[in-house]
Formats: sequence, C-alpha cells, structure tokens
Amino acid sequence: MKNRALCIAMYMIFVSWLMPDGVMSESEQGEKAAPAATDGSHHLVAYYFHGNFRCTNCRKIEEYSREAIEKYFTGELKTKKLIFSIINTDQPENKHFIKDYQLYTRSLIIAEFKEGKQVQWKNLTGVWNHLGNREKFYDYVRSEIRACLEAI
Amino acid sequence: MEGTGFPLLSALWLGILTSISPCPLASNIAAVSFILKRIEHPFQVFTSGVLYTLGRVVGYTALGVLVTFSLLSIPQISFFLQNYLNKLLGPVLVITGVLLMEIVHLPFLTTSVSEKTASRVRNSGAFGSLLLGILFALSFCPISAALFFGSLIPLSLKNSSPLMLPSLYGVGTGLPVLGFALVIAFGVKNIEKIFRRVRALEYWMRRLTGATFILVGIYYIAVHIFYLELFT
Repeated sequence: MKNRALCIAMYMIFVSWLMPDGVMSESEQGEKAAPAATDGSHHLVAYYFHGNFRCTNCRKIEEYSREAIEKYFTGELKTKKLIFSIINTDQPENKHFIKDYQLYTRSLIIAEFKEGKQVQWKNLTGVWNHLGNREKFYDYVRSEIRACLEAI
Repeated sequence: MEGTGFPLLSALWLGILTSISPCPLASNIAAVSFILKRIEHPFQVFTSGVLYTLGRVVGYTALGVLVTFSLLSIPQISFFLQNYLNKLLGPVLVITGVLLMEIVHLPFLTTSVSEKTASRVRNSGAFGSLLLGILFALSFCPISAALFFGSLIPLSLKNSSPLMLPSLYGVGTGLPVLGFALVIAFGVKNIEKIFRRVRALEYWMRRLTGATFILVGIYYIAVHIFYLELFT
C-alpha cells in the first residue's frame, strides 16, 4: 500500500515536472503584453522580466520599479513616451527575450524604440544592489530612465 | 585593484551574500541536517562539512570555467539551471529522505537492489556531502544567479581568473554550513562520550535527516513545480 502511494506520488511529480512551463503559472492579471512597437513613435519601454517562480526579492524589484516609474514619469506614461511592461519569460512566446536581452535572472531592461525598431537597450543590473533601500532604488531607476529619455 | 586581494575578497563576499540570502536557506537546512547524520562522530561531521563546501567549490568552478571560455551561453545555462535543476531537486530530496528514513522500498527496484541503494544513501558520508554540495551549488535561484552570473563572472573575466575567484565564491557560499560543522566537531566537548552512551541516537538522527530532506524536498516541489509562494 505504501509502495503504491509512493509510486503514485512519484508519477505525479514526474508528470508535473514534464509540464510545459507556464501551465502552472500564477494568474497573469495585470501583466501587459510586450508593446508591438510598430508605430512611428520614438519611445522607451521599461521591461521587467520574471519567471513562474517568484521570489521575495523578485517581487520587490517589480514593485519598486513600478512605483518609481509611476511616481516620476506620470506624464511620459500618459503620452506613451514611456511604457512599463511586465513579462514572464517562462511563457513560451516570451522565451526569445532571454536571448534578445542576454538575461540571466529577473531583470529591468530599458529599451529604446524608433519608428517601430529597437535602437538600443540597457540592463539596469543595479536594481539588485539597491533592494535594501527603497529611496535609493527609486533614485537609481529615475536617473537611468531620465538619462535615456533625455537622449531621445 | 587587480593583483591585490580586493577581487579575492570580493569573490568571497559575493559567496557569503549568496549563502545568507533567503533563497538558499532551505538547501542550507538540508545540508546541515545531512552532515549532522553522523553526529556521534565529530570528525565525520567536520569532514562532511568540508566536503560539502568542496562540492560547492567544484560546482561553481566548473561552471565558471565553462562560461568564461564561452563553452556555455550565460542566459541559456542560467535559465536551464534555475528552471530544471530546482524542479529535479525536490523529488531527489524526497526520495533520499524516504531512503534515509527506511520508510519503504523503492517500488521500481527489486528488494535487494532497493536495500542496497538505501544502504548506500544511509552510509553515504563523504561522497554524499560532496555530491550534495555540487547539486545545491548548481540549483540557482534568481538572487544567486544575479550574484554569480552578474557579478562574479564579470569579476573573473576582468581579472582573468576563471578558477580562483569562482572557487572562493564557492567557499563563501559554503561558510554557514562549514561553520556549523566546525562548531559541532570542535565546540562540543566530550560529544563522543555522550553519544557512545546513547547509540540509538544514530538511528534517530538518520530519521531526523530523512524527515528534513522530505520536508525540504516538498518545499522545493511546492515552490518550483507548483509555483506556490512560500517563504521565497
């Protein structure tokens, strides 16, 4: 009886392990799909990339990034000069972002688009260094995005 | 600062930062319980702690060499290890825990093979610790991936040190478990005498290790296979 229970448990584990990524993912409510960026505008996209596994620090990066962007770039968000997009790289359709932006963990990327084409991008790796201080995190994200916006 | 001790200290510090971050807490608990399996033999506890740390050193150094010489793509290997090794780790820990606790025979093996496997797991001291160190080192979580691939590898490349810096990083990540092993091995006086009187404790320690492995394994399954948000 015990052996059968163990067998069933191991089978379930094996099957769930084989499940394609994304099937068991949390609700994607509130997540925005990647902007098509096919219009003729010149704008920035701030991407936050995460996976199905959400750690405390990963959530914090997402939360602080959103707060900093909404606090300091209200006008740019309204005029779509800046777009904030949250992407799950474990979703099959988003896996290409890993190669595109050379991602190795949860990341905040600022990408510049001009006339529908990506011109350049930057990985804000410093987000991991400022997790202990919300204000410093805000300052870091604000200064990086401001510098990119001024260059447009 | 090249040529000074700064990069060496930085690598060690990055390892310590990794070891005290919330992600590897569960693996540290499992590792401590594994080396305590032979608590009645303090020297074996000490060697287990050293070999566990050595296992981490081997894991990080091998990976460091492979990515430094561009034999592996950083994004691909990082996401592969984060996604698949952690998924594998849960079931492996549960099965090891079941074998340590001697609850059941493995259903897919004959009784004699199952007993032989269980006996090997129960008595695996040095080799088991080494293997556990390698396995836990390669089970990256987002913060350890950020520190290893985002800070340590650039530091290794900058200082042309594909061996030394990842090794020191590995030592740093193993320090909490190594420290614990040292305290047990040298800090508790007359521990051998105490445990000689209570031989049955070995049996119960093994069961405690097994139970810890099962719990940590279930945690890994819950978090990395079913994506439940539990103390991550």
